[in-house]
Amino acid sequence: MNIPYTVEHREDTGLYNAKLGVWLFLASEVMLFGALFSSYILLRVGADPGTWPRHWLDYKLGALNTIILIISSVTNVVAWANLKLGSFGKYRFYQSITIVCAILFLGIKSYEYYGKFHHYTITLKDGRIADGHLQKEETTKDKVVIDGWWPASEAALMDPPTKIEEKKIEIESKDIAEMRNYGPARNNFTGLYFTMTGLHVLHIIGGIIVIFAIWGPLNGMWKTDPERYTNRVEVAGLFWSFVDLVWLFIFPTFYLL
Amino acid sequence: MSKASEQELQDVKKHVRQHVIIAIGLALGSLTTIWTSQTNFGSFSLNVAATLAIASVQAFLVAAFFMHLLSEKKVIYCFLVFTAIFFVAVIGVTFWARMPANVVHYQ
Amino acid sequence: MQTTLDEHSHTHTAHDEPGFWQKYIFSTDHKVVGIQYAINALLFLLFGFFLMLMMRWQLAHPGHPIPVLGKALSRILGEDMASKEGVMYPDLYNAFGAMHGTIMVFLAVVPLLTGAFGNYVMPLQIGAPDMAFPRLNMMSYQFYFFGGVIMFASFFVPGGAAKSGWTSYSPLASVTEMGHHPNGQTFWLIGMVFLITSSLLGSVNIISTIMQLRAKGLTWMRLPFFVWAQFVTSFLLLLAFPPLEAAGCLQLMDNIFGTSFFLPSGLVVSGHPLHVAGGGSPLLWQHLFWFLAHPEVYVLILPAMGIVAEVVANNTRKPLWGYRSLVYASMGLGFMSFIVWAHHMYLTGMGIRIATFFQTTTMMISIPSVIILTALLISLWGGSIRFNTPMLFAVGFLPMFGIGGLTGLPLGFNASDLQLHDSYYVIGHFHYVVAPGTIFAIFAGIYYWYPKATGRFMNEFWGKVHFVLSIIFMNIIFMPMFIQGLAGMSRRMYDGGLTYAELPGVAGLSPFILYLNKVISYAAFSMALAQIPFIINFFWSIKHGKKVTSDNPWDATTLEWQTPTPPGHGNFTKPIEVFRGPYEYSVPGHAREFLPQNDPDKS
Repeated sequence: MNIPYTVEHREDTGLYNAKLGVWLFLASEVMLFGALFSSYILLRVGADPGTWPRHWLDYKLGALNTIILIISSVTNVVAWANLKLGSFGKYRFYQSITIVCAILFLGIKSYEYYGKFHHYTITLKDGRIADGHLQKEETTKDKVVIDGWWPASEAALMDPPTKIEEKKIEIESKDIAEMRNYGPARNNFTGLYFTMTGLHVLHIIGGIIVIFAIWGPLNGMWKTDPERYTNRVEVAGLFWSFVDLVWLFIFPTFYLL
Repeated sequence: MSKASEQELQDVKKHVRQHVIIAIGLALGSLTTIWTSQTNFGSFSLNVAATLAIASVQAFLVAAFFMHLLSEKKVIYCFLVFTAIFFVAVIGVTFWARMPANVVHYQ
Repeated sequence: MQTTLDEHSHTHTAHDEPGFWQKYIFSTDHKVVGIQYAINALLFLLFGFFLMLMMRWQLAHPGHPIPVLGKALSRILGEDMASKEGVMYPDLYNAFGAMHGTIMVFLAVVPLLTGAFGNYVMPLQIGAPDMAFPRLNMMSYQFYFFGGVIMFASFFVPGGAAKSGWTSYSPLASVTEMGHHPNGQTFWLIGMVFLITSSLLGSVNIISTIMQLRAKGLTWMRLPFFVWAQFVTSFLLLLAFPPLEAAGCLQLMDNIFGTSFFLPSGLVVSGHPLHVAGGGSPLLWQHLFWFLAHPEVYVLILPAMGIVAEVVANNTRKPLWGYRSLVYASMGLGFMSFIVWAHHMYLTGMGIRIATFFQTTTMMISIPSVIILTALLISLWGGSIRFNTPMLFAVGFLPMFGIGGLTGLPLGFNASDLQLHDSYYVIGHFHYVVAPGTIFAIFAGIYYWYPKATGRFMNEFWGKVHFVLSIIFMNIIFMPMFIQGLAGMSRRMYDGGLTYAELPGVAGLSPFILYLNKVISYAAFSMALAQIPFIINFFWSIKHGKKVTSDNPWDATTLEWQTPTPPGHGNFTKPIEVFRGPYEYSVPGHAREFLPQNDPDKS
C-alpha cells in the first residue's frame, strides 16, 4: 500500500508529508519553549528586587557554544544542499562536521554544569558568607576548601563583580551553617537555567541521534530511494535549525541579561 | 539520482555562499548582543529590548533561510508569523494586566 | 496522484501475510490502531466510572463501609487508604477524585474521540489509504498505553495516587506526600508526559493526513463536518498541550529536585517552614495548566459535535443546515479557546484588568458554540427523521449540551462566579457537557459506525433501552448538582458536606440538600446498571448481530461507506474521485434519494 506524497510534493500545499509533519511538530515545540520563556519572564518580573541574580554564567563559554551551533547549522544546510546535487561524499563530509560541533556543544555544556554543581556558597555560623569552587582533593570531613572570595552579603552575590580575585579559602566543617551549590534548587534562576538548557540538551541529543542514524547506519536508502533519503536529511535539518534557533534565545536570556 | 546540471550547480553554490554570509551575520549578532546587554542605555528595559530584538532578527534569519521558510507557500509562513505576533500580544496583555501599584487592596 | 490499492498486491501472497503480533499488537493500519484506542479507552471509561461510583457511595453514606469492595480496597491499597472494615478515608476519596478526572479526560474521552474515531473514520472519510504517518500512529498508541499503565500503577505506590485534583495545583501537589519518593503525583506527571507525547504525535498525524491525503475532488468545503472537527481539534491539541508539558516539567523539578517554581517564599507545611529557595508563583502553575485545560474542553466537545453532525445529516435525509457557519464557527471556536483560560481563575485575585479581559473573551466564545448547536438543531427541521439508536443519542446530545452550555454562562461572569466557583454547580455544568454531552455522542458514533467495522448491527431494542435509561439517569445525577451548588455546597468534600450541615441557629446545608447526595448516588448506581445492556450488546453483536446487507447500510453519502465491510488494508478497492459535497440527501430534481460523494452520477 502506497501513501501518496511521501516523496513528491502535493500541488496545493507545496509540501511532502514529512515536511508538513515536522513543521507542525516545530510549532508545538515553539509553544513548549515559549511557555518556559514566559515562565521565566513572569518569575523574573515578579521577583522581589535584588533576588534575581545576574552574571552567574560565563558568557564567553556561552558565546563559544553559540558560534559552534551556528556553524553546525550552516554545515547541516550545506550538507543537504550537496545531497540535492547528488554529491553524497560532500554531504557526508559536511554532516560529519555538524555532528562533531554538536558533540563539542555537549562537552562545553557538561563542563558548565559540572562547574555549577561544584560551585558552593557557604554560610558560616557567624553569618559570614564564602563563595567559590570546591577543591575536592583538599577537602576532607573536617574542612572544606574552596577557591573563591568573601562577598559582603547575599545581595552582593546576586550580581557578582566581573573580575573576582579568587583565593584559597579553608573553612572548618564545624563552623558551617549551610552549604548550597549552584544547582537547580539554588533559586528560580538556576532552576530555570537547568530546566531550559537541560530540555535543550535533550533536543540536541535527539537531533544528533537522528542525524547520525541517517548519516550512518541508515544511509543505504541513498542507493534505493535517493529522493526520499534527501527528504529525510532535509526534515532532520529543519529540526536541527530549530534547536539552534532556541539556543539563540537562551544565550542572551540566561547569559547576558 | 543523476548528476545535476551546470545551472543547478551554480544555483546551489550561490545558496551556500548566502548561507555562509548569514551564518557570519548570526555570529556577529550574538557578539553584538554581548555589547547591548552590558552598555548603559539609561533604563535596563532598553538593554532587554535591544538584546531581544537582535535575537529575534537572528531567529528570523534562521527560519527564513536555513529553514528556507521563505521558499514555502505564503500560507505556511503567514501562519507562523501570525503565531509570533499572537505570542507577543499575549505577553503584552500580561504586562498590561498587572495590578497597578497605586491600587488600594481592601482586606 | 492517488493510488489506493498497490498494483502489485495480487502478486504478494504467502510471504506478505503478517503474524499475530504484526497484525494486532504492532499494527500500523489506522483501523487497527483505532480499535486499539477504542478498547483501551472504553476500559478506562469504565474504570473511571467505577472510581466515581465508590466516591458516590461515600457521599451517600459517609463513613459507611463500601459494600463488597471495601475490604478488598483496604487489603490492596493499604490501611491508610481504607479502614479494615472498608470505609474510605479522605485521602483515598481525594485520590479517586483526582484520578477520576484525569482518567476520564485524558485516558478515556479524548483517546476515544481522536484516537479511536479520529483514526478509524477520518482517513476513510477523506478517501485515503491510511494516515500520513502509519508508524507514528502506532507509536502514538503505544505512548498512550504506557501513559495509562503509569497512571494505573500510581494507585499502588506508597502514599497512593495523585490526590490534589486533576488540576494538580501547586503548592498542594508538591507538598502532599513529600515524604514518599516517588509518589503518586510524580507518577501522574510522568504519565502526563507520555500522554501528551501520544497526543502530539496523533495530532501531527491527523493534521498532515487531512491536508495531504484528501482524495481527488475533495476540496475543503466538501469535507464532512466530522473531518473539520478533527482538524480544528488537532490544532488545539498540538498548540495547547506543550505549555502543560512545560508546567509538568517544572512541577517535576519542584517535586524531585527541590526547585520552587510554584512555591512561594515563607511556606509553612505542618508547622515547619519548607526548606526551598522560594520566590515561586502558584499562579504560574494555574496559568500554564489552564492554558491547556481550557482548549482541552473544546477538544472534548468538537469531535463529539462532528459525530452528531454526521448522524443527524444521515438520519434526517437532508443536508446539514449552515455547513459554512459550522465550519467557520469551529475555526473561530478553536482560535478563541486560546484566550479565555483565566475564567477558571477569577478567584485568585489576579486583578481587575485581566479578569475583565477574560470575561469579555469568554462571553464572545459562546457565540460560535451557539452557532454550532443552533445549526445542528435547525438541521432537524423538515427532515425525514429515522429514530434509530445512533439518532436517539445524537438528538439527545443537543438539549443536554444546551443545558451544559447555558449553565456555563453564570460561571463565565466574574460576579456570579464568585458565588459558584468550586461549588457543585460547576460539577453539574461540566458534567452536562461531557457526560450526557460528549459521551452520548460517543455512543451515537459507536452504534453508527459499528456496522462498518464489524459487518453487523448492534441490537436495536437494547440500544433503545440503553438510551432511555441513560438519559433519564444522567439527568437525575447531574440536575440536582445545580441546586446543591447554588445552596453553597463545595466540591471535593469527602463527607458530602456534612461538616457544613445546617444546625439550630447555624446557617448551612439543609437536610434536603444533603439528601440529594443519596438521590444522585443511587441514580449513579442505576446508570451503571443501565450500561450493562450496552456492554453485552457490544460484544454479543460482533458474532450474533443482524448482518448488514450492503456496504452502506445507513444509505449514507460520505466516503467511509464506499469501502468493503470491514475495510481491508488500503481501504478502497478503486481510486476515489469526489464530485459533490458531503450531505447530498433528497436533492431536488434527482431520481435518487441520496448521492454518495464519489458517485459520478451523470443524470
